[in-house]
Amino acid sequence: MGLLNSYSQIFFSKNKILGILLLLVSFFDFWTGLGGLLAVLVSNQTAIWFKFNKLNVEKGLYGFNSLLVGLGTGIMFQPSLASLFLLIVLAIFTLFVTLTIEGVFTKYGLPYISIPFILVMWTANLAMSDLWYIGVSQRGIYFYNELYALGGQNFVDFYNWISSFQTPASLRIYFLSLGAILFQFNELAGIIIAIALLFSSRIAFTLSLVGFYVAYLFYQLLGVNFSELSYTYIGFNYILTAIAIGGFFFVPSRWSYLWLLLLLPITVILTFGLSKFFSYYQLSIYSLPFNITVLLFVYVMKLRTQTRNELVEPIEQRNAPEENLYFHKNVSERFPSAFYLPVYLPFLGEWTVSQAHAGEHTHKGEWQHAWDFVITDNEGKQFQNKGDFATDYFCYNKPIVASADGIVAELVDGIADNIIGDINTINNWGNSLVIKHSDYLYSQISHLKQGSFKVKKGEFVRKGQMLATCGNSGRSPYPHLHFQFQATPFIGSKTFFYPFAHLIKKENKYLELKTLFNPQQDERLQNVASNNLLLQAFHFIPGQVLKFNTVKNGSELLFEKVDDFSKIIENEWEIRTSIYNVSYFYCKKTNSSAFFKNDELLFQFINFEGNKNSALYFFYLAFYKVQLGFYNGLTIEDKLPQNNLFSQKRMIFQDFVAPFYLFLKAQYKLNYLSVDDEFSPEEIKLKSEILSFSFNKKIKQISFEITININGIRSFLMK
Amino acid sequence: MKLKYERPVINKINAGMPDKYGMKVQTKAITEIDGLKISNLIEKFGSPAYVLSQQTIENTFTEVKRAFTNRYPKVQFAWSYKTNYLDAVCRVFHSLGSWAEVVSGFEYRKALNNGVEGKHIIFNGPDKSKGDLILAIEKGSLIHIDHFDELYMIMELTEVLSQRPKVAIRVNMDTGIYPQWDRFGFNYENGEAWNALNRIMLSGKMELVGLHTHIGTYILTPNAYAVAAAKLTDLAVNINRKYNHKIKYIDMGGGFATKNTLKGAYLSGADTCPSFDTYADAITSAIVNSEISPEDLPTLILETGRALIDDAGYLIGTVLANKRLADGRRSTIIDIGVNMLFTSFWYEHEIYPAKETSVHTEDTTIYGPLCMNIDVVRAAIQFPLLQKGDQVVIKRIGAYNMTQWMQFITLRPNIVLIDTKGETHIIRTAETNDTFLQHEKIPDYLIKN
Repeated sequence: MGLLNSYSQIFFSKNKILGILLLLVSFFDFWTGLGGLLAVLVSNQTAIWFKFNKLNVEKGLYGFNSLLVGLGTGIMFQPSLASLFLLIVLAIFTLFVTLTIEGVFTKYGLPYISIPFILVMWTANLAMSDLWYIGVSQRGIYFYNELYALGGQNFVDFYNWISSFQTPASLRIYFLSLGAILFQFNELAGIIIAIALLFSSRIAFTLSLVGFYVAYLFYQLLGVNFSELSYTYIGFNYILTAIAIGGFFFVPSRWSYLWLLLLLPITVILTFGLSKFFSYYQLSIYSLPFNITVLLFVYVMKLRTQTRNELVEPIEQRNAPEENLYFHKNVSERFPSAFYLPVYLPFLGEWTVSQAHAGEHTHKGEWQHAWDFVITDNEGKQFQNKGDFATDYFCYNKPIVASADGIVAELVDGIADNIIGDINTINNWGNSLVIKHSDYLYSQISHLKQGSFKVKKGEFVRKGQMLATCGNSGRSPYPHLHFQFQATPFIGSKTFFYPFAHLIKKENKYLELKTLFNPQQDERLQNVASNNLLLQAFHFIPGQVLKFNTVKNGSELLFEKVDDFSKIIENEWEIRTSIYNVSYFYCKKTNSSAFFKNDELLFQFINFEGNKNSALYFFYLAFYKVQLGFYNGLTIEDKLPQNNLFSQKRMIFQDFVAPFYLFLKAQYKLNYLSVDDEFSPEEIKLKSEILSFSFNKKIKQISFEITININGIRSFLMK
Repeated sequence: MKLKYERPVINKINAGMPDKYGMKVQTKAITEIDGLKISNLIEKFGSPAYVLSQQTIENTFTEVKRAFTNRYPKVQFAWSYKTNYLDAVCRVFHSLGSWAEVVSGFEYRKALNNGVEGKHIIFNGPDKSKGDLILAIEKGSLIHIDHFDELYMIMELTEVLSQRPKVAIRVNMDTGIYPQWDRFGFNYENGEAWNALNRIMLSGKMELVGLHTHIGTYILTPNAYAVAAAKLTDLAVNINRKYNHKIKYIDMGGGFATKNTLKGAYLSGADTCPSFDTYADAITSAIVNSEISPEDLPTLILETGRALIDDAGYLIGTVLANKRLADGRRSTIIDIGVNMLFTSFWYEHEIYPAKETSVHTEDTTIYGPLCMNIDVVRAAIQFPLLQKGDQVVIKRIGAYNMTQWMQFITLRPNIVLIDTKGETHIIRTAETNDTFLQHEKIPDYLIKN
């Protein structure tokens, strides 16, 4: 458990193949490899026994430091019973150090990287003078002996053949440095690791080169002899720093790459300085410069008061730079906030924004995140007749409703309507309401009509419940509704940015669904209505099993739902909820999961993991985003993460340049075709499409014809 | 320009003595409709002619829709066919999102022909034949049951039809206004409504989808709607309580007043007609304030006819002659008679000259062209001094006149629709003698050889 991950974690990855290759490479020196392997097994098993966080064991987080210690010990000592025992002791020691350091660092939101390994190795090194009798190994120095032991004369010849290539010295040092990570001091190990790294992640591979050569150039600039690196192999510090900063702790972007230009020289200086210091104690600095640079930078970046888009930490660490990038881009656009409480428009029917955020009249400074709403006719006029009286205004005396469930926290009534054009600067907010939706979310509604309140202070109100009617009180020259979100319960509190969950925007008779939307000036808006049939069809209950039959018809695939629970069907998906409260469909047969979110008005898939030929994958594509109200002719659009759609082959080149430019694009479209009956709908037809683009040229199109009836999702036909 | 000749009149001077409505005002002329000159319209389409303005229809519809949708989450309009079932007019309303409300097999088929889906047709009225009902059930239309005999017939039909009829009952009730319309539907107060509902629910053969009422016509008291809406929601709440069945819609019918003045009314219609907002407020408040929870609120259906189309219709015509009556009053004969202005039996229609006139007016009786004593368009009106050949416009005649008209003595004229771009379209051509020849049959023995 967690064995291979413990290997791949060295490169912050969870790639199984990378793990296997690293495991193999570590056995170039058999005893070193064995030492590493034993240390991981002991450490992981101990962690499971003592019931430490099982997920971390699985991810290899408790294994990789022990692995490094195991490799380091393995190469240091001759195999013997005593050294075996020493290894076990050190492995468990490393685990304890890991856990302790994790406990301290986690408070600061910091990773512990290979600090435990360094501490344990130093301890072991310092103690070594007393451990001579175990037998210190001379391996790693007489490298050909090891090769010969491993693969005979042929292997030695093969190695010589590879070495005979005219490669620049720097590249050789690069390979040696890579190999040194696993205590394998030869180029072949480095080459295999490089290939494994390239296979597991194009970005990580690129970064390893970038890191190494930035440091190389800095050496040149300083006039330091770079070949010094070939002796100490300490160059891996630069490689790991580049991968960690450029692609792991931050979402890969041109900014994360640019930062390396500054951070690598820092690492170089650290390497020089620390080497001097530790050589006094006859200690190697191992990966200390890399650890210091990464911890320093990650910590410093956490202190930013505002996270700029340039350099962001991934929303969810997926242990692969590419996935971090694609997932982050997709999710941060679709779900900008993890802790969003849905709020809706505070009125019925269609209203128009007369002043948006940072508006020209009053939405300034601390009150800039507010909206004014009015009702307008087709020509954009707000009133009939001459507009001399409040009653001429279309919005006047229209009901105002709660934008979400909550408690009436504050209520002011008794301020008379102004005559048109006049303003009341003494009671500038007019008749107002503040509703508490959560501890940090309040909505304020102002300029209401005197005596129109239908609720009392302290009363619990439901979303959509009528509160009062629109008036013309306070600083309101003509009737309008002032609406804002704030963090405190007082009338006139400072506002903050908080968008509406979903709404329908009307533009030239076309309806557009907007999610997490901040209404802008002059936009015509209305709330989203839901459809019972759709609500039912997309209400999935944990434990529920969906069964779909696949019927193949030429190039078309028809998936039909089977309601018979006793039958065993090709595709069976169970609805589960993860410990992070995320629901997902799980297909046991293909070991695939499709994560989704349903906030009662919108069903959305968050991500898909697993087999891309499974029916569940097509299900994920077909229902990527479904609004649960039926609007004839409404089109919904969204973007899919590249890695969930394009083939591995297509992705390779994209991966290399992904931090700079995404030329592959995947678009999702959903059309609402027909409903048989508005009052008691029994059948709804939808059509979804997945369009793939390369450099804005359409390369592929998949469409799904969807039928939904009283039994839920009836079928979807893939073309 | 040469001044227009006006005949001399002698009027009592009452300047400085305004009555309670203020000074007499000059009768304004209506010289154009949606930017098109009346004279040109008459030249092109003949006199008389009906003119409908699509722009006015759309504006009025938007106004009514806004009044309701900004107060209630689910609102649906159904175009009352009997008010004006010219296909073009119906299609304008359908294009604006209106469903169809019909009261006969003829209207039902007309709606189908206008491309309205069966499920969007509301079938009202006391006269639904067996054939009509079968058609409506099969098309999934909403059948509003008017009487027990209809209910029984639907029950019988459920035995042979596979479709489950979607029904509602029409309820009549005391809403505090006179006259109380009790001839349609089932009475609320005497328990007939519950009797019908129980039978529907217990039969299990129909789906009770809605409740319908239509409290009357030209209702000037919005509160009557509030009472009606409250009574219907009360029924809906109790049906849910008793049968655990949720009513999907409440249909408040129509009957909103227009600015036309009723005969015998003390004040002019323009002053007494409540705004759409007032009606909407009364109806929606009653439903929202009921026991029904916000998420279960039924759809509100409105079958407003008159108030949506009246303002969009104009009759344009020509003065045929002037006459002095026995009592000395003046009379003017125009080519628009009560046969094409049926509503003149209950409205004091506003008639305007199509050209500017002088300030002088005379108490005038306006007659139609029919050789029939009842053909009086206005019994008494302060009217400018028009002469033969001058053109007149009668305003606000869009409702009922194009359906309740009579072919009597003269033929029905052209009906013209002005679209939103100002283009004119004949949507019903003037009748000719051939129109009648087509339908008439002469027995052989009356045909001279």
